[in-house]
Amino acid sequence: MEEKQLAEDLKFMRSMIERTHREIDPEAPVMIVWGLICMIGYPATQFLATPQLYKWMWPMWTILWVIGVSVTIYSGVKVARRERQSGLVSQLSKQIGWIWLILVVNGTIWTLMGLFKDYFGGPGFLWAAIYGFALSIMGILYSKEWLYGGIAIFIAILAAFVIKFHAYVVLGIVMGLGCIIPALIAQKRWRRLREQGERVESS
Amino acid sequence: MSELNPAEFDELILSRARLGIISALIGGDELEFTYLRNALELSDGNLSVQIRKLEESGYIKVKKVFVERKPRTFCRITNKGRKALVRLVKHLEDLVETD
Repeated sequence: MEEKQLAEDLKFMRSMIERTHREIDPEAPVMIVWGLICMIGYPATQFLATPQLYKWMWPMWTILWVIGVSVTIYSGVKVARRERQSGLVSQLSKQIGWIWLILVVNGTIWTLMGLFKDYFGGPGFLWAAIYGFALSIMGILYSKEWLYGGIAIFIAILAAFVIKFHAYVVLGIVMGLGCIIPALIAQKRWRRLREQGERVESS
Repeated sequence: MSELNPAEFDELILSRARLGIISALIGGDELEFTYLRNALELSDGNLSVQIRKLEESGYIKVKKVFVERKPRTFCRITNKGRKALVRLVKHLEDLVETD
């Protein structure tokens, strides 16, 4: 066995591992929905945080939350079915699923707290931090665009402390874009990968 | 570069086809027969033989399920297979570095 053969074997192994590790559907529609929820919910929170309008805070967030969770569950089931059909059930996909589950459970607890404790002011920043953290982890595990989205959210949190007056508007827009832009980039890359795979299969 | 001692390597996964199967399974969780065949550009017969050898040695597990009423064969790497590949990779990397 020669060195060239060794190096080729290593390269071959790494390329196979990389291919099956990263070939997962980025679930862009789910990320876009959550991005829009942030872009609607956070700025709306800014304007509802008055004594006259505060009573609408909990209904608004509950409706947005139910929409987000429903889309997430529906998409999760659809992706799991699609993976079975395509023949590639990915470990990374499961890891990302766990991150989503933690986010959803966390958000559900915060929403329910609002029902019983009438408490929606403070958690907004904490929720943004958790969201940014989760996107960063996704970026590390899957693709760097999510990491940039997570970093942008952390910067927005700091900026929101400084700006204060329109803090939630800033947070909402950056959280939304931090989700939507990486989703569109990842979806475009995924489609290109699939087209290449289909061309190989048909040739 | 000095010649390597074949006895130091796990002969079972040193074959390119089986190396490819094991490597692909490390990256994914469960991979279906057709997916492996297309990814590794192997024939049905060759892939079946390689999968059987790996299964008999305990490096992978194979299960047959129905997906939309069609029988499909899914493979998953075992801990034994994972450790074997990690050992092999480390061995190869050490050898490449020393040359």
